[in-house]
Amino acid sequence: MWKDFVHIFVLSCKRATFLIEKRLHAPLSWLERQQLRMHLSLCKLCREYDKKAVFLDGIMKKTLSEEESHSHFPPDELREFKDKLKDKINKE
Amino acid sequence: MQDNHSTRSSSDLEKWIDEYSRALLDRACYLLSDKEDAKDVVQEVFLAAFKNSSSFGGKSSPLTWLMGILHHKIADIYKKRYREDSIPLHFEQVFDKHGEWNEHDVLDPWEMEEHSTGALLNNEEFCETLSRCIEHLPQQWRMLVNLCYLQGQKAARICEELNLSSANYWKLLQRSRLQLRGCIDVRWFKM
Repeated sequence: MWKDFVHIFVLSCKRATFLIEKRLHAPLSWLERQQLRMHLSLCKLCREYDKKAVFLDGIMKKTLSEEESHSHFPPDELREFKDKLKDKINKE
Repeated sequence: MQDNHSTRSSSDLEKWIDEYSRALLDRACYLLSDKEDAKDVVQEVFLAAFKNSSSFGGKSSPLTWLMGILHHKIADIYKKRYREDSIPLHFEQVFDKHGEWNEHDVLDPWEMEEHSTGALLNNEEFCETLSRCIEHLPQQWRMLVNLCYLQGQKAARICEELNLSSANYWKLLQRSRLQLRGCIDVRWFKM
């Protein structure tokens, strides 16, 4: 009951982590910025999560965009795929 | 005349299959996180290209044209898989009914100074751990995470292609990141 009441003024951690995520991808509204700032000033857990989320985002930006350059298809599999496809097209 | 045209285009297409299969398969696999799904969709791309080869104006490179077809087909697959109410997010595994953390392991110390970030990126074992953790995400979440970090993909376009509201898009990324944080914590920083 007390917690429900508090969450009217300061966000729940669930909502705060949502705003932390949103902020990585889009600008927050003025209200959202104030709400998040207020929550982070009171909640040590979300402050820690915030740092880790930003950290993971930075790492993923670097690693995932390169991920595509590693091929998942070894030459044999690729050849088999091409041959099957050519057969199919010649039959159509 | 008609015959000539179709033989020419089918041998062209064979050349395209040889040249571009790999790039298309890799992109499809990255976006769908599944090799068999990737093969299916790339096959469809070539069949569609074969049937509509007259619409290839030669203004762009064949690969650009084929990638365009691929992205359309993948967007259709996404739309089917991401009907908004059909994605289970299981927030209750992380937050209690008041929306507060169930566990306090988020406080576990991580080395996150700038120099250690650079070192981690060059650390093959760490990158391996990260991609293992991403692989462990449920497929629907993983596809979106990959799409989000694919260079040049902008949120608005992703949402439009997927027919997903921005709020749900961020919620899915939020849930994925909560899970990744836990996974990296256990598999790397606590080791």
